[in-house]
Amino acid sequence: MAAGRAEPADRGFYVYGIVGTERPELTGVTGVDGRSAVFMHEEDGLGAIVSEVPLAEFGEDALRRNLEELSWVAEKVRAHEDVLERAAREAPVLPLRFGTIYRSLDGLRELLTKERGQLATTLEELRGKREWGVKCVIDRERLGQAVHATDPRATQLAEAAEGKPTGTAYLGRKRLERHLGARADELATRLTTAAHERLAAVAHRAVSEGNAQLKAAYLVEEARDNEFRQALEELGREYEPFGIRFELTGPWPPYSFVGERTA
Amino acid sequence: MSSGELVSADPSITLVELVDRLLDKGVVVSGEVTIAVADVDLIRLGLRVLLSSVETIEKQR
Repeated sequence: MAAGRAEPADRGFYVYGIVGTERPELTGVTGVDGRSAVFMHEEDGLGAIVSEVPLAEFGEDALRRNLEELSWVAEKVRAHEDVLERAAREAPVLPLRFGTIYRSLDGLRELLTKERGQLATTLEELRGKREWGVKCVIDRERLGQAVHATDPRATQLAEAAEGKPTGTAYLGRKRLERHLGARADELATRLTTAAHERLAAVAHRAVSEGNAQLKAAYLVEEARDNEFRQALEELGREYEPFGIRFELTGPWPPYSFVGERTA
Repeated sequence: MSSGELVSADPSITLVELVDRLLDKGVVVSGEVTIAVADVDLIRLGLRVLLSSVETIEKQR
């Protein structure tokens, strides 16, 4: 560790996000290095939320090493998120990917100038909207029981296995398990797809890494937050007998709606 | 509710969600230092190992 004050060449500029004409108050906010003040770098009507970082911790090689330490990652992603959440309370913010660092403010200036149109348009779309994350957790045993109770074929297979010699009964049970497993998968996919559609209907935009295990993000207008929560609560009640539970996280800065893979 | 509080109370869930968002989503710009995709995959792998060991400990209780 270098002692004393670092030279400017040892410092980089960590960028958290970009704001438009509305500016959040950043006084007293500390950056990802745990000590440097977060400030606004202004350029032609856009503002970048920035703090200085020591390259000994955030330079290319150091960063790669540090990313192997989960405790470091956990601390730093939380710090990045804290800065953005503070800002997002007061103004629309475009969240940048973790670990975006410039060696000088020139590079940042160039970005804000060159991408100005696109950045401003996206900021305008995000105004008054927040991201919510929804995941569903499936209790396979309960889902299996729900399938078993309503599926005539399962009852047949179960009855057929009863009172048979051990070997035959074993094969019968295996057949029943396979049958129930396939039906449970079908049912889970059908239910989570329907859930996604109902939630997306309340959202401005939605993205889903869809399969049986719903993992989705919804960009919801603040005015429709209650509607969104109600829809989720209803789904929770309806799906409870199938062993499907929803996990809600957020509100997040709109990470899932500013990258390349949004739809 | 206040817009600053995350709903999820489970810190391990929140960490996974954070890593999923901050390292895989968000605006990608040509910073002079950025994180390579391979590094992100490494972190995810590490998180999965960590979380599955936490689950195992909880089940053994």
